[in-house]
Amino acid sequence: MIKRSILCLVILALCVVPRLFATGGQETATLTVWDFKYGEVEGSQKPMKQIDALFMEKYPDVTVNHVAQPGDPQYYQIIQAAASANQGPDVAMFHPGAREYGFGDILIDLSPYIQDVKDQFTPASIAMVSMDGKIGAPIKLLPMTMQGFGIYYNKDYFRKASLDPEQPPKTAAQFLAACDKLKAAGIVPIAVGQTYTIDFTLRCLVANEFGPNVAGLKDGSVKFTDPQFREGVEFVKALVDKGYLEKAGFSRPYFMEGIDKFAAGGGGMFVGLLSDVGNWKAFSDKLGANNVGYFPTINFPDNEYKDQQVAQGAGIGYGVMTWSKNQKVAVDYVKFYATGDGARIYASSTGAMSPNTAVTGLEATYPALKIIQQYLKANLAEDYIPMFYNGYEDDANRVCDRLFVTGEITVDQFIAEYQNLITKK
Amino acid sequence: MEDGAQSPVLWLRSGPMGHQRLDNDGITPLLFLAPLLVLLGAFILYPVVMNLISSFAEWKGYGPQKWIGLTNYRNMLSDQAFWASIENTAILVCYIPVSTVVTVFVAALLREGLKGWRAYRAILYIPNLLGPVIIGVVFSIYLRDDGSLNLALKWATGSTLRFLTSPMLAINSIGIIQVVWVHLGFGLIYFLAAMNGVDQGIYEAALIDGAGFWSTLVRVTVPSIRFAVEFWVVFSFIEVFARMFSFIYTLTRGGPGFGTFTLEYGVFVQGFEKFRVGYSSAWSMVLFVFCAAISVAQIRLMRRRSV
Amino acid sequence: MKRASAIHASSRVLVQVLLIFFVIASLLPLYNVVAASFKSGDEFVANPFLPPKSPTLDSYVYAIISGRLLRFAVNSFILVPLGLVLYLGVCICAGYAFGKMRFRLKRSLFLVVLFLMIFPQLLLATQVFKLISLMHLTNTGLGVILAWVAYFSPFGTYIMTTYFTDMPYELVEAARMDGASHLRILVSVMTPIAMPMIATIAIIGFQSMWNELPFSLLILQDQSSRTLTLGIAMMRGEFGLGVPNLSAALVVAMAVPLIVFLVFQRHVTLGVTAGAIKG
Repeated sequence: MIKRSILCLVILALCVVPRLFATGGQETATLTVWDFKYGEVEGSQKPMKQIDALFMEKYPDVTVNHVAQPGDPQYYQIIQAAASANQGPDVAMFHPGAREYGFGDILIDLSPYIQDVKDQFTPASIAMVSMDGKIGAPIKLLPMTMQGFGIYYNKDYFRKASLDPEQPPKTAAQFLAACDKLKAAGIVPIAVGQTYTIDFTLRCLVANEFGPNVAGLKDGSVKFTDPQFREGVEFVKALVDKGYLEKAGFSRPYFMEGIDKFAAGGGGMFVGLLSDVGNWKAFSDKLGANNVGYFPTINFPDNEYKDQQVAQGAGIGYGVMTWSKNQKVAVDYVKFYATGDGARIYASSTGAMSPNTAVTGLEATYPALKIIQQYLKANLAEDYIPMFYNGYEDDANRVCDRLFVTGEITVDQFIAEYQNLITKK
Repeated sequence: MEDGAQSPVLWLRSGPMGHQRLDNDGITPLLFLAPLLVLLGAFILYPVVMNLISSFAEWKGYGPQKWIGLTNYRNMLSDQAFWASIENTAILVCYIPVSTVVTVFVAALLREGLKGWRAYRAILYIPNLLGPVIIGVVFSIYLRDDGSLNLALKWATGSTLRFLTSPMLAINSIGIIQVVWVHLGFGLIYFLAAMNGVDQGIYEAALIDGAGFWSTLVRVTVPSIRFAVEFWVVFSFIEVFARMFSFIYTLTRGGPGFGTFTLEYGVFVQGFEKFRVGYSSAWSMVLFVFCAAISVAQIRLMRRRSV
Repeated sequence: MKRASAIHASSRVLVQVLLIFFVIASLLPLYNVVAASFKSGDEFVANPFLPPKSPTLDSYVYAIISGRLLRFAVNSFILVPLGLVLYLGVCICAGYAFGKMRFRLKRSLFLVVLFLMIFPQLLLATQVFKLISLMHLTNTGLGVILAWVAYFSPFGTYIMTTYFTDMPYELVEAARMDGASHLRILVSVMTPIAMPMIATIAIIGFQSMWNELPFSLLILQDQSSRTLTLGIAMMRGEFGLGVPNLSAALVVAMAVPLIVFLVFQRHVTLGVTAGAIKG
């Protein structure tokens, strides 16, 4: 036992000693960057490595230590732990909206440093990365992508079901008819990726229901209890009941599987994203660029607005932490990713859409992207999910589960609960 | 049992039957315990105390705390998620007796020295070895509406069950998979080791008396390992209350709706998805009180039965 | 160990059937993970549970090369055994103290240990990290090991305590009367007898530390110092990882605890101490 204890102590000492002599005396500054995208080897990691290399060329006395972290929610757990110990990375990636505002006090205000590039970004994206979404408030992140949702469809399958592949079903009636025809042709009408599909669909419909007034949900001037929302909810319920929304998809716990299924030809339509995963690029690359169609939402006759494209001005972005000892370089890094070459490389590699208007994309080779950009330009509607509190999407999804998946509550109860979520906090 | 062998928790009782001889071993015990106590004090006791304090505050995990008294607890009582979590945790607790009976039974079976009992023990341990993430991923595939289990059911009976999308089925599936079956593997290792420490002579005596498998099990085996059984029940409670998270997260994310939302899951959601750490601490205090109370209660119950 | 069995011959068949059922149920998930790991992403979508029709090593390549799992595996290989050594030391000593020594605070201290086991790990994670950073042990092996041992040893201690308690006190009494110190008793007498339980907690302790996530996630911040389990978690990205890739990574990860288990389980045997107790 004594021998064992001594052995233990020796081994422990060996553990500590090398660490004590950790990196001493560096000529170069190290910029530590935390990221929940860097771990996606097939996705973001490739362009990021490229961009980091370019950055280090430009700043030869800086070494970028880019650390991959797990995604939500572990990512924010690490951020929170770093905040509580007041030490951590120099730069970290965040989701704008509730997440960013919640951590606002550990991010520096970028406004004084970005005056030269601010005008490159869409107003919607700048608003979103400003504290509490207010223009003029401190800007804590510089947006790299914008996000949004819409409905992709497989043109081949449309042809098979005797639907016109160039005329997507725009109205509710047309949509139901299209689902019917797809089903009759033996094609799964809408591939499903867990409850997210319902979540995304509602967000698309809400864009038409409230349009530019959607921010009124925050102060109560517009409510989910208004009749337009009910119409959308009942429509989605009909889709589930009729089996147009692939029921089995709800028992698949991973959203990625829904994406993979549609990309492998497992469905006629799919409610996907606009940016960096499950997007026009992923589907076009797999199904053929000319085979992927897109439309933003479903029009109801008594909705005031039509063909609104729901979008978040900013999807992800980098910010600089208040405890960073290399703030100047960190700010340059953040700008490097959101503007110029950095932004272009990231966008073209992942299919992300940059809110930086100076970054041109691949519209020429991807017809679906062209359509999306037209809608974004003309009919942008703000997404309501990031407007509220941290974890709101999770709560909203649970309520959706209880109506659409388990049938525990009625449509009335659903609407009441859905409204309650945003008023009681 | 011999004089010196006592259940560690028989000591909870103070009374005339005190077997606690007053001769003391001096400070040697404390030296033996020092590493454990120092580590526990720093890394568990201190955070727990911090959590208790923050349960009376509004806090996002760093920065200043805002004292709000009992507000967190009051909000908890009117939170439907809370009541759902109590119900779900209670359902899981019901699987603990099932787990105990099954595990002891199978251990006793293997103890009989069947050919290849070591192999059985090893193979049955594999689910435990795989870990909650793998088991979660695998069962998320099996239990789908179009998964293999449903395919088999459809072939046999013509209809399917919505294991993952029906709240009742989901929570019960978790009970069966994690509480009973995954723990079976570990239980076999543990009970077979515990049975090992028992005087084998009593089994010979029972055989000579003509006892069959069942009466040996009930009248000889179980009493001789009653402390191990007691440990198993306490351990199971702790597992159900505080070690289910990875599995539930991987399988159902606490859903559908609140179908598999347990107290522990609630602690996680409040603390790390919503960053309402004060509120999350209140939940964890409730979790602790429940689990501690039940553990102590059932220990006393078992102790009374064995005396 | 040969002794007459108490099971009737007819029931023997039933027993075997029951055990076979359990065996199949236990091996199915393993088969599934291994099978999935050899499928490509597309094939998995089409064919989730039958054996792969066109097996491929793509997922393994992805996991090991792109996920840099080998580097992380090396870290795990260093940290976990070291942690295990400390863990065993702490649990055996404490278990013996609770199980065989006599002192006034025994009851209360044991209850404290029991109660401290109840808290979910997530709850403690942030505070533990704060402590580690105060001790300037962020990103060190020592920091992680301390956190692991602190969290997992109550359980190991409890198990050792029950086992030591079950041991007849005569063993200790006799040695004490011969003038042996507790330390000597523990080393020469109790530890060899307690081998089955020690092997048990070694298996569990190894597994727990190997698969541990919350503490190591916060403490090990450098890419190069991370464990295998962390490496797999990081591959998840924002929306999750495709099942084949995840399966390949998991197969790589669980190979080691499996080997450890197979090695140690030989020590968890029946009948070893029968002679010792009688004598």
